[in-house]
Amino acid sequence: MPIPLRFILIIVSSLLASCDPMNADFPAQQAAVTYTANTYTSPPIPAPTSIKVMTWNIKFGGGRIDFFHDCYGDRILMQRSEVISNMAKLATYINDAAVQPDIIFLQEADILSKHSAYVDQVQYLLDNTEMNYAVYASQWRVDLVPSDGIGKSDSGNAILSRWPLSNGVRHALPLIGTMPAYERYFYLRRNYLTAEVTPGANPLYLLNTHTTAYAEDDTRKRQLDQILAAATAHVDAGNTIVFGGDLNTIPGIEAQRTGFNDQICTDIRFPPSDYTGEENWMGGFYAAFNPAVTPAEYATAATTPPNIHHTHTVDNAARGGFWNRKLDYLFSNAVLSGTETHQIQGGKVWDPMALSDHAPITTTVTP
Amino acid sequence: MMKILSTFILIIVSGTSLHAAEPLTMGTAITLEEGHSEIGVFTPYRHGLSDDMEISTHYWANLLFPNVALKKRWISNGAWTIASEHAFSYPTLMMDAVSKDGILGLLPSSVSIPQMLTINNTAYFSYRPSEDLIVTPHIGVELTLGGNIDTLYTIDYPLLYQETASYYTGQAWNIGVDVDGSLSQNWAYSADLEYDYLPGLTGDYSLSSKLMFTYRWRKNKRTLFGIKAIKGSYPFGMDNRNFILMDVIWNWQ
Repeated sequence: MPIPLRFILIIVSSLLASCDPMNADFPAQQAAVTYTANTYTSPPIPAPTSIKVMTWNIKFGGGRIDFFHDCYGDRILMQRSEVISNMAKLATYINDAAVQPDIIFLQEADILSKHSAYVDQVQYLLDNTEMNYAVYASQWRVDLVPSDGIGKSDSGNAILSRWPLSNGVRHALPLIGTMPAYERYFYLRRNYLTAEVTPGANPLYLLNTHTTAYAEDDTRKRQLDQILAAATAHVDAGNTIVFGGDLNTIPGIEAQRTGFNDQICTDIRFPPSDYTGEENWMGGFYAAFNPAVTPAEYATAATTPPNIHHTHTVDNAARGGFWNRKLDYLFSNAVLSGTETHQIQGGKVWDPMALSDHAPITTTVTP
Repeated sequence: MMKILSTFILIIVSGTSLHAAEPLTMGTAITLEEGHSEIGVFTPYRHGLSDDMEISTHYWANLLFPNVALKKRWISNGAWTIASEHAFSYPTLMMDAVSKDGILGLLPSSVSIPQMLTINNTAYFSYRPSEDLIVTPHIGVELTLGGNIDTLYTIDYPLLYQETASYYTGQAWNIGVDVDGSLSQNWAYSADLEYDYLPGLTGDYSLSSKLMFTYRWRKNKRTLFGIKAIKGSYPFGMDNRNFILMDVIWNWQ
């Protein structure tokens, strides 16, 4: 039937007939997607008594390309060569002798997205670092995002490890309540991802998350509360847990809560960050767990700006941008030591500024 | 499930009579008789200009997608009928409309949409051993003059991908077979199997099949429903998908 618009008949009727036509929905809990590296790298034997954990929002492998949602440019899609080039830089960074984590919490990792040329970034990092295993939970899985030419998307959180991971589970977080239903259907579905790893005698419980950035209601607070409750439940059960990620929330003890110099968006879909009124949102985490960066350390660093524990800026170095707020965290009920926020300050050799709009944090967990 | 199937068969059998429902002729070499017309909510308006020529258009799409098709019957010899269909369309407006920021932006607004003219040519070879059955092998090529949108921006969703392929590479080929027949006085069916070849794209082929039924509930009104399955290659790999088909078709003379 060579009639050019036959697909309209089919697609319109299918949309009417299906509850989830774009495969966007998730149950409250779902087994995580599991990965194995194509090239196995033997982890240290015997297993170390302390484990180095990293959290890093890798921005879809987009480096510092000026995307439309940052409002510094209009890029939507990347060429495959650009993504591979950026991923290679991320892998090189992770492999650096001074970095080399044992476990990585990734946020904004694409596995099958049009805007990152369908490069499976979790598999790429497994195959190009010393990580051997991973679990993945989609944050934005839609067969066709009918907006801005974004197209197909499958992007989310991942936990990578040198050792086998078990019981990987995707836990759904609350959706933004103020969005119209049609917009919410295609929008990001935040989650926290849990898994277990047993490098030594006892299991270590892992939780990686990325909370919402643009909610204008209390959605992010409800997400934070749910994450805190999940982490606390592990403590109550006598487990050792390390958790963190991009919480899109500032510690709350700094003076600046709005008016950041990288916020240039006029598009109402991307309102400028304003953390006013959220001063206590992280309080429960600090009270119940050992933070990789303590409030005291953070406050001390704030006295000599720029703060060496800031982890995020939308702007890039070429325009004079620099990390201007802390959104990324690691916590545990075990002892944390040797924490580094990866900034090129204070004599550090690290400079991830060109690799993502977030700086990684590493810390050593001693269960 | 068995109860539903039994009821369905009962409805078909109960409607059986000597005057069988006319099979669908959209994907065949059969043209509408002179003065006869047919229209659906989604299926195109068709009109018999003469006994061997038919014109059709997706009437409601013309504002953004000007289109017209002519089907000409060339040979009618016993059970065999051979016809060709030539569909002309101007997809630039439609592609431009979906190249936008925000909702309904299937392409980034920065994509340059060229002036394009699409000519879809299909040859039908229909074999009709009885009034109740038409078997139609067909082969077609869609050529889009000016069709050179950057292939980075393909719409990677089943059917949309195949239908817009020639806007990126200038050409798309297909070959297939339709089987159309009547089941009873009021019931007819249509099944097809089609292979699309999309040279120049990373995902360059698909195999699709549909099975539709029509129920004539008035002399000039039919309801169409069925399913279409498609398996194809895309820039991200393989994908299988099923779609539901529904429409209501009116015909008159």
